Amino acid sequence: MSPPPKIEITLDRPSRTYLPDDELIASFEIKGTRPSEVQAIEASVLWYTEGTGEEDLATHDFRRLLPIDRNDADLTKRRKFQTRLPRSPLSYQGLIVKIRWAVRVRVFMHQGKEYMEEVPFHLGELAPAVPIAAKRSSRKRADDAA
Amino acid sequence: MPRWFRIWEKKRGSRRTVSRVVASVGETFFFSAIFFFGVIFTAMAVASTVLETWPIRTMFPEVAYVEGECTIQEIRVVDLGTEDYPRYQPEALVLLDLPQKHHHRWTLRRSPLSYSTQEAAWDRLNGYEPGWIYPCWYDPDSPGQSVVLERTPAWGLWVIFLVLISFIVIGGIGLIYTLLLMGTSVERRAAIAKKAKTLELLREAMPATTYPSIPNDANLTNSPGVRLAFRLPIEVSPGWWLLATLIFSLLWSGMAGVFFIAALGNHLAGKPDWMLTIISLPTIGISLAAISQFLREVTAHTRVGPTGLEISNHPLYPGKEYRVFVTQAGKMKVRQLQILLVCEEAATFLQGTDVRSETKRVVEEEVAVAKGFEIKPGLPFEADYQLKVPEGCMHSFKSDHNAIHWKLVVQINADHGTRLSRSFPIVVYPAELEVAR
Repeated sequence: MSPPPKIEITLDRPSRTYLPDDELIASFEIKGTRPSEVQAIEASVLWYTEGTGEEDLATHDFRRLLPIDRNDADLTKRRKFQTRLPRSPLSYQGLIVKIRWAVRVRVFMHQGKEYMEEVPFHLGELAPAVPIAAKRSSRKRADDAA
Repeated sequence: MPRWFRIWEKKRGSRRTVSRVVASVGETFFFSAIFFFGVIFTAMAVASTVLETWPIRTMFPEVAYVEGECTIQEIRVVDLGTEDYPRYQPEALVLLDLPQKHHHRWTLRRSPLSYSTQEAAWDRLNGYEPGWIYPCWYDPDSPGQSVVLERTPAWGLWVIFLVLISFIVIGGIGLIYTLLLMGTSVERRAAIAKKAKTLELLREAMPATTYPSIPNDANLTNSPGVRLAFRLPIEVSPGWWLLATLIFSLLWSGMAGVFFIAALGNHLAGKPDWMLTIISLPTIGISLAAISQFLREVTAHTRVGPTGLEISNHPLYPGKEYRVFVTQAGKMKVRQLQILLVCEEAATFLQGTDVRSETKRVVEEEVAVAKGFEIKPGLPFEADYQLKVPEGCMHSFKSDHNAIHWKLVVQINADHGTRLSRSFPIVVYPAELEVAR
């Protein structure tokens, strides 16, 4: 049994923080497998929700690469793509609703197996939500100190 | 301490333990079974109808009947009932003249008809005259036992075909859908769904949204205000809540009344049913509580008139200030009227077969408070306040199962224990977008 391929995703900003309407440049490379074993690759820039509710997911940018798409047909070599990020929804760390943005790459092998890797990033700079009770007590503490 | 691993519990997102392969195979089997059940039994039903064999011929014998001509020799009404339950069946004696044999039979329809009065039964025979020839239908295998003057429509046969065809349609669509999605990633499905939405928008000649996943504020800005730009709509009309309380009190009181009368009747007859009496008591208690709640609501809504809220601008942006104008009509002494700016997270999830939802308040800012005043009929309370949306807060958001709602809540605490809360939804956009908009 051959080991799973390694999917390497790199973003253009090491801080992984972007603002709405910013340009995101990502590149990915598949290592540890022969090009002939790769059937297709899907690269997407997406957001999904986490928390109490059912997971919702939406793609902002989606591309599917097949060996017939290009003359070289080698899907494993490093590829770069860029996209202008939308204005919403912003990344959000709520109490029961969380919104995560990520660049996700999925590799489909000829044997029917698939492998996925994702790199999260932040859209916007919102602070995490704080429970109201904690907010009130910190406000009270600040008032007392004043 | 390790957490107990609950195998059957529904998990979401990355905690999901379900196998996509097993799920796809299971779905394929399920829809294939429905589809092939429909195909096989529809084929059987069609063949059985065309070839006039079992089971359709047994269930609907008239599908095999052929048309002929009969001579009516006599008509009569047969008394079938009893003194308590009179029934009269109209019949005609027909002569079916076939080359091989003559057949005589008292008949009308395959399923006999009967009436409660003789007049109605004779009326049914109007139009059938002895000595005249009429079309009739019979089973060629047993004409003497089957001849009828009127055919019964085979609605049941159509229902059977409809049910079987619905199996084919549901199974077929499910099977095609499952096969199309098999081996398709969630991202690809989401991309296909997004593309479909875009096509729909193009078809309707509408521009694509600039602010994805933020609810449209068209319904919030279509009503101009008197003092300020927009009059905000109320979230749930108090009338609906009042109607729901009324319906519940009426239904429950009706049920409690039946229990009470039955229990009281037994007591008066000297045969007390203690089980019924015990059940009646809490039922009556709930009924009285429901009526009391309804009356309290009616009194509160009569005393507290409509609440109006206007806003200077919409949508709202974090860190910006706006003016709100509140009007409160009615007849009451108000201890406190408070306006709150509220942000709530809302999540919907499946638990077993139930759809459940949960909300969590993450922002609750006091916009204004007014204390100790009286509202008189024709002289509503009116006040203009300043509202500031907190900086760095999350914008409004809506997806299939998750949402972030912003609203202004007017809370009234008046004399006689009157407490009311009325919500007015608003939409907050991300701060960075204001310049672009």
